[in-house]
Amino acid sequence: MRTAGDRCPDHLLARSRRGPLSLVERRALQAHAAVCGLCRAALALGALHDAIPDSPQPGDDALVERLASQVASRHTGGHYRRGDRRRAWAVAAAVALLASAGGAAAWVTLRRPPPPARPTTNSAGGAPTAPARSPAPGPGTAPDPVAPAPAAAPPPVAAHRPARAAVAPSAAAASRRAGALVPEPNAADLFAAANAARGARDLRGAVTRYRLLQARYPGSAEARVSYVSAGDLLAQLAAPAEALAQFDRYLAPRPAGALAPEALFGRARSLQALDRRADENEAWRELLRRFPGSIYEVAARRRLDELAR
Amino acid sequence: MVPPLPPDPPDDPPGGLSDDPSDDLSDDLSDLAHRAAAGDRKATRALLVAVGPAMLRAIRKVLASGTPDVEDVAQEAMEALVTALPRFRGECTVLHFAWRVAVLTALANRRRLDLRARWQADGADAPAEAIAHDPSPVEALATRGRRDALAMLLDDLPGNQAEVLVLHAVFGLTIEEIAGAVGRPLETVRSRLRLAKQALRDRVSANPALAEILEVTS
Repeated sequence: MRTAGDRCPDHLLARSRRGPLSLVERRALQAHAAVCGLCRAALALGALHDAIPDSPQPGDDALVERLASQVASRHTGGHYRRGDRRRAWAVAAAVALLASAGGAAAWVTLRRPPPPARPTTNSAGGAPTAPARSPAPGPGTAPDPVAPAPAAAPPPVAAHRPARAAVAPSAAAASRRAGALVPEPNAADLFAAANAARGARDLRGAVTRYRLLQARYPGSAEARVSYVSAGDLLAQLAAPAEALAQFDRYLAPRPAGALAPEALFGRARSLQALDRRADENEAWRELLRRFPGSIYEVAARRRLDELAR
Repeated sequence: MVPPLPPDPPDDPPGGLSDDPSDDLSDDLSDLAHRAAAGDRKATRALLVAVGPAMLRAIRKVLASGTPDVEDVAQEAMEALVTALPRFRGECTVLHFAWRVAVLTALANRRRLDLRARWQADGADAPAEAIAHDPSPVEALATRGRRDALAMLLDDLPGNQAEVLVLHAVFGLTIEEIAGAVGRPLETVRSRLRLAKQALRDRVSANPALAEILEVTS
């Protein structure tokens, strides 16, 4: 049985987006659109897209030149320069992982009231309280190159009290007991601070904040996302064992979590960096098996081919 | 109201490439694409420099202009383009192909990241960059509203339907071309497109604000 959609002149609609139609064709498409809500909606979608300006912005040329050089270097010649290697690590995973952290940050932003005019800082960065519960170290955990330490305390976190219920009871209670005048940052604060550091290319600072978040609010949604984000940053910092531990911490309780493809990709790349070939092989296969058609499929197959040689 | 058909556009991707010097390079781009697919580093770089601005602008149409993720997504899109070049069969121009890769990469990122929340947050934060490049604050608000509307419409669709709809209603690919591009049977693509258009229509019908934005822009 033919439906309304089957009678649409799709070829005309498509061509109207690519080039001029003849007068007869234009009239035919217009006549059809007058009685077809489906094609009116499709035409309107195209018009909406066109109505969004896309003028170049200052710095675009330099950005394109830089990205073109990086991508061209990586895809040709069969070897990585050191800087490229780090960047390559990030390409597929980082886009998803880092951006997802940003997305979650935006999500967090939605739920918090406007920051107070008083831009106080809290003591969380300089004198963090004892973690409510430390996540169990994952397999392969090695000495932490960017572990939070008093001497390398994170910069102050903007202290505004979000209206979130994600604050771990123990942390909230500790804050109340201390009678602190400055509220302790909650998971959203720490997550936002980590993302801000990441955005400023302060990778170590970002990892420090993500870990602080994980230690203080291990059950929060922000902490869950942070395992993947921190894993990627640690990979960029040439700390694959620590990266692997982060990815494992994400995957262990959430093997089918929203970021599982990214975590599996990061896990496989970590194993590659650690030269654990058998584990790496299995990791790539697991990625392909569980998420066929993901954006990592090409990379996974390419690497499996390399491993098979 | 029946949306008027687009004014006769030049034969290049929608999105304002007519003033792009790369428009004159279609033959050169084809040659560059072949050399890049063969692993020629200089050709790869030259190709990316040629199509990069268009890709960047296409990505900004999907992501918020001020989001710091634009650079990362642009890099991912370039990676995807270079990776896909050996499979490029010349079903469209190289520029069109690159533009398509950019938009699909941006869409994939949007879906994965649940960026509806991000759009709303962007609106609240009013990215200075976006405002700075719009003619006026009023126009900046209108632009943001359109971006939000586009995002809302596409985010509500299943990924494979959104892809087919964008390829068709924005890129102007025929069903046969889409089937070739996504590697699916014709009937599958036809079905997805029909479902996507139905969902789009229903979504617009149910949301007066969306309908108003679409009416203004179309």
